[in-house]
Amino acid sequence: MSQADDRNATPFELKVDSIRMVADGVAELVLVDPSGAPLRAWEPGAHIDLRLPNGLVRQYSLTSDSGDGSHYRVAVLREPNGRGGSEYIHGGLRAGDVLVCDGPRNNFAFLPAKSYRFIAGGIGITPLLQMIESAEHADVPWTLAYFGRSAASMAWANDLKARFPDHVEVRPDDIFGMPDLGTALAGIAEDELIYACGPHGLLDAIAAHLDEQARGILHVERFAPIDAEALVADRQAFKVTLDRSGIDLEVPADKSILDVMEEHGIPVVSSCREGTCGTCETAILAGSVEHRDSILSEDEKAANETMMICCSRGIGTDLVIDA
Amino acid sequence: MSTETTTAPSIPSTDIDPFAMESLRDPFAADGAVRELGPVVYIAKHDYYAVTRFTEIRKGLRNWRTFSSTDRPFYEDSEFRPRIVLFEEPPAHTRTKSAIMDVLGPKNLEWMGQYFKEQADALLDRVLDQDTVEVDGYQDLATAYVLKVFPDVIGMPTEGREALLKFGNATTNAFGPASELRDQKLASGGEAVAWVEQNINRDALTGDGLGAQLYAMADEGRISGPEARDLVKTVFAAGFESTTAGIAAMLRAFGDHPQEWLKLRQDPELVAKAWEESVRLYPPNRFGGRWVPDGADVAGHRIPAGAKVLMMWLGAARDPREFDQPDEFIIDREMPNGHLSFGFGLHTCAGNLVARLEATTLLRSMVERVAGVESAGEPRTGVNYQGFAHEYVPLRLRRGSL
Repeated sequence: MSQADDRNATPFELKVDSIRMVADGVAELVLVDPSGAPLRAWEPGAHIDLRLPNGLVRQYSLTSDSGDGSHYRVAVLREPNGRGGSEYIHGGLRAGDVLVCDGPRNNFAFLPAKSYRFIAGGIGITPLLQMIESAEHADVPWTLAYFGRSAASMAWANDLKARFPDHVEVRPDDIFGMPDLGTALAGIAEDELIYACGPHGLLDAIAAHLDEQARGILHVERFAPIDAEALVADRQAFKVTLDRSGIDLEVPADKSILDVMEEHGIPVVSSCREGTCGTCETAILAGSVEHRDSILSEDEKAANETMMICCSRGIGTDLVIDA
Repeated sequence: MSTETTTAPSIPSTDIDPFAMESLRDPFAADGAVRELGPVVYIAKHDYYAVTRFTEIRKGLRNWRTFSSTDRPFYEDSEFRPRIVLFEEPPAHTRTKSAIMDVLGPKNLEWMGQYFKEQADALLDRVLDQDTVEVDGYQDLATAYVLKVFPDVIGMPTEGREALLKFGNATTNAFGPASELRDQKLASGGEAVAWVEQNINRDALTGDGLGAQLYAMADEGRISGPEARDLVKTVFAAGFESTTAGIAAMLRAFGDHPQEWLKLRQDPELVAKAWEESVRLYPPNRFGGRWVPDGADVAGHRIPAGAKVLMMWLGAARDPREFDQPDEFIIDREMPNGHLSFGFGLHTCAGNLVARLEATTLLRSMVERVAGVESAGEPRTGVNYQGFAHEYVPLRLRRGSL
């Protein structure tokens, strides 16, 4: 633990100076000290925790200039299916409101390298912004592949493309289709580091794309790994076959395999219900899985041999598990 | 007669005896020394393999088919350790463990939490009768609290429940090499056996506690009557000693690190993290036992088929490959892979949610009432094969509300 983190252990107040929309569904907050005092220093990759008045605590990457102590900036994606953190910020928060915050803390340290390859998915651009500024300032070569659902939803895409036309590829799915990682990851140089942030699916796909050696240079930040909101965001209904029990189950969007098994009275062992304890790990016999747990390594997710049925989900109708 | 050696050539072998008295007096040193020999080490004296490092243990615990729980080093039938749940595998395990976890899970946590809080508040108000008090964190806080709240929620009689102290102590020495120490612990536990056998019967338990709920499951046919009784016994054996040890160690950690207490007072939201860090630093259990019927690969080394294995998670709690400054107590430590002090995977401690609730409830009550904690003397740890427990934690507490 660094000195800075020790010093940053005490919660503090931040006043909302302004709120504006910077892309479809993305609000940018400018936060200042209520008395105008300078804010705590931070390094690229750092985040703050905002304690929202509705009781939720949410982590947001800092996107402002890390050398400027006059304010912090964070960007918040509206997630209507989340547990209400982003809904509160989009719907209830006003300029002048005061929030209690923790941090800044850094779980995504920006390490020195001879060159950088940045890969962002949607709101995952946020922790990379100051890394890009930092690389540019230090004159270290870098590229950014920025994926998202549509151009209108991708905050800062136009600014980045305009400032760094030779470094930045903006690839909205609605025009270019699914992310082309072959191009984004082609020709990795020696002493290069990859920094990626985005949805689980994208990060899993990146890891699966790299060979074992290259995986060592991959640094990722998942959206809040044990965050209840991420565990339930964007869930889709699917079907699962329980091989030993000989039963097919429909798992609706608002439930887990574990929930549905319990409802059917099928004995099943679980504990944490958030993908951290490993109690419910179950073998996958066939089918595709969207892994949401915090246990499996990138390799293990790519191997698709087991899953945590409390939070990870099937895709479509072909999942068969050993239960 | 086979001339095959039992040690795969690439696995280091050691003469360190993890069960010698000097190892038991400082298991962190002994298990740390074995850990640094390799990720898996053959313990020559007792003919078993120790898996020693965080990543390898966590991976092995997830793989319950390879690392089977149906046998372990030093196993013999024990009146202190029923085979139910702990030595079972799916599908039998699924039935019994889902029953016990149902009882020790969400549906009972809310009322237990309220009860724990009432009792924690009352205990601390009683103990903090002056501005500064000296207490034994083991006896006056951890034992006083757990011996009250845990048997109460199970629904046990008040009379004679101190017997649980000795029963628990025998439990954590049941599986280890034969020795004077083990004989002595089992003999002293023997005095408690009669009390326990009587008080796990249905008619001894109050109608609404966890014990009665397990018997009700037998009525519904979810488990059998004898299984219900064995599960109640398991809850007795596993839930008392380890939780007391965890809480006493947490108090010791704060006594040794008064500045971490101040950090917690400034940010009481850190209560849960602080508890997880203390139970990482001082795991109440030292290892889990397994065997590998078909052999196993650990970090490129081959453990031969039929070998017995101990997963040494107390040593792994200080593995520098996983934790920065592993011997330090840092209440806001980030642990992206968690810790192994409740085990991991299929056989994760069934009562972990209850133990966590007991400990964090007491800690929260303390944060509200205690401005400063410091050590008031040299703490003492017990000597124990599988458990790691303090028996004396002298502390000075300074009263002060938040």
